[in-house]
Amino acid sequence: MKLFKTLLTITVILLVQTMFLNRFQVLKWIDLFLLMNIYYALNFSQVASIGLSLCSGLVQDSFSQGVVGMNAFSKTVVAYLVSTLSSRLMIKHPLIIMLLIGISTSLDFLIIHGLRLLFGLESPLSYGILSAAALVNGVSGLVLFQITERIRVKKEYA
Amino acid sequence: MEQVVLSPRTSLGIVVVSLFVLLALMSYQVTDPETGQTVLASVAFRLFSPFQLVVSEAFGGVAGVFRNYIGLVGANKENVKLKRELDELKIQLEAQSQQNRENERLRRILQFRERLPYRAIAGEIIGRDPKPAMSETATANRGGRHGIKREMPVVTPEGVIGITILTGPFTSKIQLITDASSSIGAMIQSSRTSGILSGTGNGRCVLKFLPINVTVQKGEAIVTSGQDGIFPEGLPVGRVVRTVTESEFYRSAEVEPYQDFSSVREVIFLSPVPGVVAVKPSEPVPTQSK
Repeated sequence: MKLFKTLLTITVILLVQTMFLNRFQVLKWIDLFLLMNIYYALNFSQVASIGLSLCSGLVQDSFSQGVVGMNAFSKTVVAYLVSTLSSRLMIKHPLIIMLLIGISTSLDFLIIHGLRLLFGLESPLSYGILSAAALVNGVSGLVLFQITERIRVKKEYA
Repeated sequence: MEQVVLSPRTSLGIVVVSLFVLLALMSYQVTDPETGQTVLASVAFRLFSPFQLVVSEAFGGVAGVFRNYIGLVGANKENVKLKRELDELKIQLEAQSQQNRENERLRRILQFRERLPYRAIAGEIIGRDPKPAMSETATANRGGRHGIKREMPVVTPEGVIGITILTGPFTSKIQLITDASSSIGAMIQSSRTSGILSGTGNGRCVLKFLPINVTVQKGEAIVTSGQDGIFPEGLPVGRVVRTVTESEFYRSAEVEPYQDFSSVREVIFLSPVPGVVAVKPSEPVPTQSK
């Protein structure tokens, strides 16, 4: 059941990301896969979050242009770091979460940028892209996390 | 929720192994342009070849020093001789490239007469890249079963969209011309000065390698040059937004595509079919659907 739910979440995210978000200038910066990985890393076990980031990254790679494995690589690193951090610190304050998402987004982009350069591919990364993605993901991630958390709490107490 | 808890060391081990596997997977897909081998093979070679070098140097070091000393005696004479040979070769090479350019020009004239006609296959964009900040692709609802193949031009009546880079039975992936790793042949419509149109990854393109003496006006139309062997000549691409002097020999022009790719829905795949519709320069793209 858990596996089915996770697969369903990945499918829904893929559809929303590729068919809806990318049509809009600002919303296209939102990386729902990354947000999902950060959410899992903050709330579930490290092994689960690493596994999920690896799988969702590969799904994202297969629908993206470039080398398969880059998104999986960056997301695995991000998920590992976030889950390690969350196991040592209490990350509950909204501003801290927003900052964490922003930093994770930047790290994700920088890892992909590095990998692209390593494999001799062009990389369009600029400070503008990095800051826009970090900001938009930070704000939207915070909102989505709050909504998801409320639904989860409601379900637990129902 | 039940949680699997592992020690930090085990988790780190899993991550490191996963990352190595992913790196190997990525390396396997990329070909090193220098060697023509996969990056995995190249990296392995580069990693292990220094050991071989060290061993070889250790054994051959003494002998090498001795040989070098003896070799220096005749080095000066040889140097003069080699310089002369090099000059002769340079002249030969220049003549050869002149001949190649001539051949290329004649071949293009010949090809122009026997230009491939194109069949139009209409399709629809059904999805966009899940990581649009780093790459710009789109998925269309036409694939191998509809006659779509790799490296087919994709256009709309407004202009060029991109090329197909991957095909499934019912879908295909299109690399947009604005993608950072996209390069097509394009030219300034008025002066017919051609260059290479590369994507910038931020919704625009850059027409590179324009001779410095060519004047490029803001708003000038850019069309495909047909020199990439994929796009027919004369398809509209976009207009010049600004020019940048790259070096003392070249300048580049930033190009804004005629259409906003995020809102494009219907596209046309151009499939070469001999003897149906001839596409001539500056003629509109055939837009009849299948």
